[in-house]
Amino acid sequence: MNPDDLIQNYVDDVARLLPRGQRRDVAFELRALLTEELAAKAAESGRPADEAMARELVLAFGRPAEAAARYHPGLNVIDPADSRRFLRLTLIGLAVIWLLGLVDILRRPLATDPLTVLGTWWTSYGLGALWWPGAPPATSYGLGALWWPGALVAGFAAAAWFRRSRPERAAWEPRRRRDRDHVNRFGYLAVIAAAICGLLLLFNPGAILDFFWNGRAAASAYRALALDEDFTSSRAPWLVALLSLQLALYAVLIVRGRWQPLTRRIDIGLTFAGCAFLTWLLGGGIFAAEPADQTAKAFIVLIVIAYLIDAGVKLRRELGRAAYLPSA
Amino acid sequence: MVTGDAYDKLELELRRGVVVLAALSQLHTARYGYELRQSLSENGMPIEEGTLYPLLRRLESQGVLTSEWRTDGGPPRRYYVLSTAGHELYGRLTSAWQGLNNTMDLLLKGGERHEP
Repeated sequence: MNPDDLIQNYVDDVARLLPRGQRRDVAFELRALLTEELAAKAAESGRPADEAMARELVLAFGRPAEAAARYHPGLNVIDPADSRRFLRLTLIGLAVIWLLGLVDILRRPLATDPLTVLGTWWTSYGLGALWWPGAPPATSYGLGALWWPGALVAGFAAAAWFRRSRPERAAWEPRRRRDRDHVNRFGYLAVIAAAICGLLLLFNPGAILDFFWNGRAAASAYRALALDEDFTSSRAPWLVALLSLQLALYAVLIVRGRWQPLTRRIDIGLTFAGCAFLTWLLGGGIFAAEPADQTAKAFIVLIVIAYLIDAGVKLRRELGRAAYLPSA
Repeated sequence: MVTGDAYDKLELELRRGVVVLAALSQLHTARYGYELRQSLSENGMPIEEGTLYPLLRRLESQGVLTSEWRTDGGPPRRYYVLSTAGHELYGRLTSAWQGLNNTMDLLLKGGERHEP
């Protein structure tokens, strides 16, 4: 390629990325300057300008996008200072959505062989929804998990815009220091009481019907709340055991009045164990009647999400405490 | 041991801080981009073309420089010169630089005294 053509090519690519108002003028000047630089290079090397020389010159000037960005103030949709946080939240969110999506696919009746499960997951919750938009699962689940990064971009961009337009209101303020290790004894007592009541009602659902309808509730209502036999015999004991451990921890906290490193870590472990257990519960029946079972499972999915968020926050806080210790 | 790569990056950071003042110092008389770059280079301050040429445009849009196209019998060239506001800014930046230079001299001499 003729060196002049190569420079013109480069200048065209830079100009395309400039604001319309300054495009022609900057392009004209840039071409003149690069031509002059090339002539100087050629004179210095004692040979006529060629393609390699022109290429070296424009490559040193930078990618057209970089060169164009130097001509006008840059626009950062997400503040560079927020990039790591954005990336971390994106990856965590995608992992949670994909994991919950996989659980949802696994509990469907058609989920028999691993390839079918993976294929269904890929074209619904996975990225495949973007690349295979005609597939039925994709249309029912929209853009898979990619709504999450999109929502984050919108959120971070709005925050950056707010900080730029009202810097005085976006200034950092010290947080009021909270004693996170303090235990509200009455609150924890109430949680223990509520958990025991919840367990009693789960295993004796007729009691609530008798309480409200004085024993005159319809037989279908009793049937609707009857537990699945398999759940009662195989999974319920684990539920009771796990809940008992959690309540025992709360009892210790009530006695001590404060969280301590060991109790905090046990709590994090129990929260993750609770997530795993509840996810396992989704694999089988809980109530004998289908509508009650589906409703309960929908609540369990919400509880798992809340538990995961809670466990993530607690773990992050605990690792943060460790990070403030002097390193060896 | 600091690597050569780290030295290059830090030295570039140092230079970046004075690029604007160096360019302004040569624009009391009108010059076009390539001529300015040559002038800076001859005075021991080489600045990459990819940095200098866009900088001139940005300074012009901020009102520090004014510019005009001239042909003077050769190819058309855009000449830049300090505006009134640019002269004032140059004076203030020069004072700031001299103050900074004195401070750095003191700090560096102090640093030498404390070397083992």
